[in-house]
Amino acid sequence: MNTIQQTPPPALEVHDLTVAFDRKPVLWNIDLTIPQGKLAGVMGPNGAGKSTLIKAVMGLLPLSSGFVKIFDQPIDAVRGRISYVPQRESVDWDFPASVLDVVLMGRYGKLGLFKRPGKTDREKAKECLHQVGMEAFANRQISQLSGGQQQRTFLARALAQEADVYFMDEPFAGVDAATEKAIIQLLTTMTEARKTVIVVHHDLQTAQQYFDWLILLNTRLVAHGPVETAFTQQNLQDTYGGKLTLLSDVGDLIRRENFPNREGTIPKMI
Amino acid sequence: MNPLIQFFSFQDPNIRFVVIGAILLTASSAIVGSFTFLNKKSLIGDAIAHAVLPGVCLGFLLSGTKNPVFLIGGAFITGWLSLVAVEFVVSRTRIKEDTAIGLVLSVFFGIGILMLTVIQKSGNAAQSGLDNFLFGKAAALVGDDLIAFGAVAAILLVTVFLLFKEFTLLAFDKDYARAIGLPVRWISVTLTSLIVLAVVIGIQAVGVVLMAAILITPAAAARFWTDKIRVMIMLACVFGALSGLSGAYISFVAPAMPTGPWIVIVISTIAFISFFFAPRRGVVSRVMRQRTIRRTIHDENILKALYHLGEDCKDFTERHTAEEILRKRNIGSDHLERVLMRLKRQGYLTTANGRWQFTEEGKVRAQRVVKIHRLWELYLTTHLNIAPDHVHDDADTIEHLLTPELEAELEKLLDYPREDPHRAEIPYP
Amino acid sequence: MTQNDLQIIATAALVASSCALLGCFLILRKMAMVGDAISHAVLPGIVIAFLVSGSRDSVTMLAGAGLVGILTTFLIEFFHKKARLQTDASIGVTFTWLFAVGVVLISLFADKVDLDQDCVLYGEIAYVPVDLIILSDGNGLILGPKAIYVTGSILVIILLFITLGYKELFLTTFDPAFATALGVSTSLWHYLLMSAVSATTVASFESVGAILVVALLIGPAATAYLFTDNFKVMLVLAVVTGVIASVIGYYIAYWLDGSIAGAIAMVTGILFALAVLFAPAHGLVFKRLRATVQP
Repeated sequence: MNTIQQTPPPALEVHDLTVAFDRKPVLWNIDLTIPQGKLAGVMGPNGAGKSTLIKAVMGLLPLSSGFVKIFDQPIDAVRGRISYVPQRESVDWDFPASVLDVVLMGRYGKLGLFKRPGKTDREKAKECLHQVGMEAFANRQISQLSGGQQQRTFLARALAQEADVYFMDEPFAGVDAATEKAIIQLLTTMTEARKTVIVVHHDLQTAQQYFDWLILLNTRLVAHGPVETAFTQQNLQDTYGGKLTLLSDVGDLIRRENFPNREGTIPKMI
Repeated sequence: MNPLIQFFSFQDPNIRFVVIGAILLTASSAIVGSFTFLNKKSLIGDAIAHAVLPGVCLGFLLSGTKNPVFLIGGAFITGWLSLVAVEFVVSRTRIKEDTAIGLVLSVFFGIGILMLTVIQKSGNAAQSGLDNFLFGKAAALVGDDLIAFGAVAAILLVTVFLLFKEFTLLAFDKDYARAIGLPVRWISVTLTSLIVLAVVIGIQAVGVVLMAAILITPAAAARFWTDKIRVMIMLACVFGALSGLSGAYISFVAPAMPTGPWIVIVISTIAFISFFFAPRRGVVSRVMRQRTIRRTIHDENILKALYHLGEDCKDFTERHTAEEILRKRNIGSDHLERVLMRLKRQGYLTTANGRWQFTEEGKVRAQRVVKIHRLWELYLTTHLNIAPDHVHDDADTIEHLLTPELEAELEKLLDYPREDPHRAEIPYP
Repeated sequence: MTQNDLQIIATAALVASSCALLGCFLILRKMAMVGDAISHAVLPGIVIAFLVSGSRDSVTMLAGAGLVGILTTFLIEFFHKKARLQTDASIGVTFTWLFAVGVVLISLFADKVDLDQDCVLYGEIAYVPVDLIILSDGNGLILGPKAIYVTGSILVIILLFITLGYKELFLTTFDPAFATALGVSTSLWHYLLMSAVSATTVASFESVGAILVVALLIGPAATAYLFTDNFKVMLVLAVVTGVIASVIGYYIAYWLDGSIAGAIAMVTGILFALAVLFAPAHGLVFKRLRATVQP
């Protein structure tokens, strides 16, 4: 008897994605898939659209074209299975909250409206803090944390979501070496447990050793796939080699004239 | 005599005073306010305006009279003090700027109200009319005031004129100004003093509560009409003056009414008209441009469809029916009819017996669109590594957008290719 | 302290409490000036509600004016997003215009509307004890000052709102991007919060006027923020500060024979200044001392 092998759905599928930022397209026709269980790095020069890609996937930015699927489903159907670690600057660390308060936020998705976090949620939060080595800091105010500790708090919050796919935006920016090592170790452990982790990363030196899947972006997709095949001189050259001036000029024109990115999208009235 | 005529004949010297005074006040505020607008610090003007109230009361308490020198002096002091307070709080505590502004604004104003009410209840006859500072009373301007305000307005204008490039550079790129060695601190202090000064004289006409409006709104309105700073400031000045003039008129026609709110209503109306109807930046203009874009897209798509039909028959002079066109691109027969008629009116098509044909202009235009479409597809596949079956939609949009300059750049970049990714010929004229 | 004094202070304290609670969220969201804008912009709504309903029935006033509060929020967004006007100007143009309209309406319809244009700024809280709710049953039972019931009800509503929506408000304040990623609607909670601010402003208008509402929204919350790093403590401290300011302010106004609202606003400022200097964790005096102690 032949059994048809069902390949598990990819953790992330992006099809023909175009995203505009301030009306100028910053991502053009991106097509990529990331299989489950990978530790994927998203890399490219400044302004390449890396953060934009993550935000668009999370639904934080509107798509001018294309679609995004997580485990073959639209994102709103699987929000409980996705986790997001934003850039550290996106938040005001002067906020009167403790580390535990922040980590508990990761549980809010599981609670409904009006429900308070209960004992199990607190236990789970503390466990996540333990995983990132911050259990001693549970009641520390976040304004007193160092950069590395802030990052670990965010990470613990993401873990508390108990998700299957994790999106992280520059988790190693401004973080000390020891923290970076600890984080990468944690991420690797997670992928061994079949979680998928997708990281926007900026340091070429460490890309090869950290990731097993690579996405190289520069406004358009330059390369994607297992790191052995994607991380080549040619691809790096194409990614970091310089701007596509014509593309940029056309993008500027689209913004100035307020042109629709796609004919199909009825341009909004304003 | 009709009050309108009576007013605008300016025969009555009182009317002249009030008009000149109101215009001076609102126009100079508008000019100075333009810089706060450019600095994106419009709400600071609101804070200063509320903060001058205790100063006015202080001036009164110390001098026992409504001598403008004391009132202006007191107002200037507390106005400046409020800014120092905001600066202090923001730099030395974790309080953010918007909170500091709101706090200083309401506390200073509260103190001012407290003082005002105490003065009012004290029974001092000289205090009547002090509460005109709340909402403004242009009618209260008299000849002597005019001299004082005229002097202040003159100082404002001269300083703005002299320091124009410095103020502009600071608003645009403070770090650069610092880098090239401009005394940034002193320039900021000067600008701030001008703002305080403008507020202090402006409150006579508009009052403390609504002062912010004549700093911010004229500039906001002017911004929509131009991209040049000089023009913007002049427009703001004109708009401000117009609103001041109407305030003076209201003061004349309905003396019991406070002038401030009317001035604000006039300038706000000017602003709303600007937001909606200014060419290019106005909302209506942008909506209309969207419509034009969509029309162009539809028109060129039909021209393209006809071109494709021509490629099929290998003859571009062939005539085609509407049904044939619909088979290439189905937009519904009613819509197609409208588009075809429009293209005919514009001289791109001719028609005979229900069959449509290119004119020379039509063929040239269609060819250009098709050429750009195919060039763009080639660009996407060769330079951007995008899959050939994904490039069509993108090109469908870009083909309507590209300027001749960008078109030339594109062909050069691709080295004048003959075929697109789908092996269709790229037509050159 | 007479019964009148008590009633006036109680009203002020109730207003201060509602404002303090909402203000904590406003300042952390960097929306202090939007709060300021709304508190001014509700004026035309109040006047129109007055004209339309012909009475001072609070419910209609609250409804009509609350709508204007939402309108203000919407207009600010509209000017910013659609007309592409910068944020600070969007706020400034919107509220000044609406407030001006309100003042003009009051002047035009002065006989029909029982509001005085100066009073809208600082309220008539001294009249609280006189404006009573009288039950129309046979005994003519006097239930007490209307203002206390109105401001008291608003406080209850605010408390319910904050309790039920605590984690959503907390989350959307701290990290709106994460909230969206979780599927929590940031704009819904923004509008809910601004509606609460509108309702509070309107309910407090008659007693304390526009300016004092702003002072009470921002001052106590800012003061509490300097004392603590725990949000729940901050909420409590803000309320306490607001109540203290109400009491002290009342007596100062009494002593000077001036505006009660103005005095309370002044006291919030003084308390804030004291906090800036003397708060244990963030106060400047202690920071200076710590700096000298540890070289």
